Amino acid sequence: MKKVLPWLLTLVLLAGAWVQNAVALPDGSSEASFLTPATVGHAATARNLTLTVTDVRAARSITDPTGRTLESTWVVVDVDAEAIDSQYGATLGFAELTVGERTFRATERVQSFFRQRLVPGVPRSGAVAFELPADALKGTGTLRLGIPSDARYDGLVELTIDLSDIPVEDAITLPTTHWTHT
Amino acid sequence: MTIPTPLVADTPESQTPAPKQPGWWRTNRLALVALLVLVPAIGIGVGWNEWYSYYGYGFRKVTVVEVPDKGTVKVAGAEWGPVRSGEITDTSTLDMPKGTRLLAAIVPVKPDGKAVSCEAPMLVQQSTGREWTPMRSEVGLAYSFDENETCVSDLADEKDPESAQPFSLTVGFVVPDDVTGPFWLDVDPRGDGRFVRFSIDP
Amino acid sequence: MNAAPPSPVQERTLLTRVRRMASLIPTPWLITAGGAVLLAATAAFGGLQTVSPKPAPAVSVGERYSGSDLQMTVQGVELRAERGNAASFPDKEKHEKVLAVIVDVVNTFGKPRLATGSGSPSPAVDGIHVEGIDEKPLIAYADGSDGRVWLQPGVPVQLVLSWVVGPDELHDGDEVRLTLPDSTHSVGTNVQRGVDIWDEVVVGATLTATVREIPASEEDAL
Repeated sequence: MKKVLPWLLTLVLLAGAWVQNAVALPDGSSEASFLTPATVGHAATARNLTLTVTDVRAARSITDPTGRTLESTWVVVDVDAEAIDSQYGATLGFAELTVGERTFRATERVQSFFRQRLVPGVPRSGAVAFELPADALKGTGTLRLGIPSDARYDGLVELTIDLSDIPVEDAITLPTTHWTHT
Repeated sequence: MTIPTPLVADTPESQTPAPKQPGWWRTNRLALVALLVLVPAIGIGVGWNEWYSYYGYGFRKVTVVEVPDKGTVKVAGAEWGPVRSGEITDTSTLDMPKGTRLLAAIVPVKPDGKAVSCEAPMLVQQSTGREWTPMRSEVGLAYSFDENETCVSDLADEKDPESAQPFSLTVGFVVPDDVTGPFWLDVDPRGDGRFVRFSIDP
Repeated sequence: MNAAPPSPVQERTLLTRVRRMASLIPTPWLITAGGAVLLAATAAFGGLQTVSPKPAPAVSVGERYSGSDLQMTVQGVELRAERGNAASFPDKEKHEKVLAVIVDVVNTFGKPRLATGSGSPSPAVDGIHVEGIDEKPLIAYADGSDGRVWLQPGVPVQLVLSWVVGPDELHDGDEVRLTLPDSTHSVGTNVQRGVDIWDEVVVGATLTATVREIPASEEDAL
């Protein structure tokens, strides 16, 4: 038994190492954001944020409230959002759309709801737009919206979109960011 | 065949039991005392260091300085108050959402020589701690030169940095109807961790 | 007490065994063999003489260049009396002009990136360097869009890089030499954990272009 014991111990340790390797989370998982899943039309709550995606559309050209028109391939997401506890630093500062291997950031080329202020208890409505390459409107996209521009350790609202399913319009006019209940 | 003599002399000393070993606690007493001292010391040291690196440089609100009702207080080289506050009920020309109130406050600031800088005041609901920051363009309030949301540096003599003039902070907050007072109006001047807290109930 | 020292008889055998094994290893043989391997490897890599770096390839106006996970195609170099869509502001009193480089850029990396890079030389679009000018250019969208230039993956965009130049530094028809940057991508592990970093910036390509002067009166049409 004494002779077998070291070998037994070795086997146990090897098995343990294999299991630990198999279940280990990827690097950086400790900093990962807390994701709240959402569906179109239903409110979702993340840290200091209650948000509802009311519509997802696509267009070949968008026009913003100042009249600037840009032609490209756009995905436009209509959002109602409010803060919960604090208005300090509360803006819609995180908006990313991940399609396959690529991640896109909401455009700042036009005026939109992106990076606008959010008020606790008082919802605002607007739209954010993502500029995509011409061939990218297919497959599944994951939309993530939230307050902080650096979303590590923070909360985000996540929505899955079927990009081949959304209606593609010729032109969409982005609304001015306004109070939801006027 | 004789009985062989024993190899070891059967002396009385060998009969006495082996001396008792000192107990675990006694042998390790130095290490235990060291632990008792060092663990709290490290805890306090690291904890204080972390607290200071986050709160210690005057950029965050740490210590409250409450202002007496209708009174003033001197903090960070300026006199703050007395605060005036109220609800703006005539919002017909403004872009206000349904189900909200527009609460306004004015804080006179008298710098004591050098200009003072501060962030915009915050409205805090006393019962819940929820906080709001000033809104202006979002409700259609045009920018006004005399209505400052943050501290300004208005020198009477451009060449004399000690000639800062008094001014007022004028701020408006959009607050849902179901949020009731009393509130605090917090103003955090840059300098140390002390900040000014007015109690208001507009 | 469990850890009894090995009895004298055992100890002698163990130590002696180790000593004998050590003496059996042919140390001189190993040293010679190691030396031979080192020499062979050095010879295989071309010897100890430093290898001169390959000269950067030359690209021309309109030709696409790939470097720093970006595709850049310089479309033209202009000397403007008025800034037009460029981000640089020339001082009219001093008769300063704007040197503008128009470039089509596609971000081939999987995440959005700023067209400006930190530090000098920059690994990003503002790493395009004009021989004779030390500063980094300012970048603006060619169509006048506001805000910082974020390059979305796979989305082509036209940018204007600009520098302010003196009234007599350049003229119509002059040749300018540009260098285009290349760099290595890595993911930060320590303080910048998870952050995408492009560094070890080198000259990826050179480009010689002719300056086209655009006098003030023509600017109104732009």
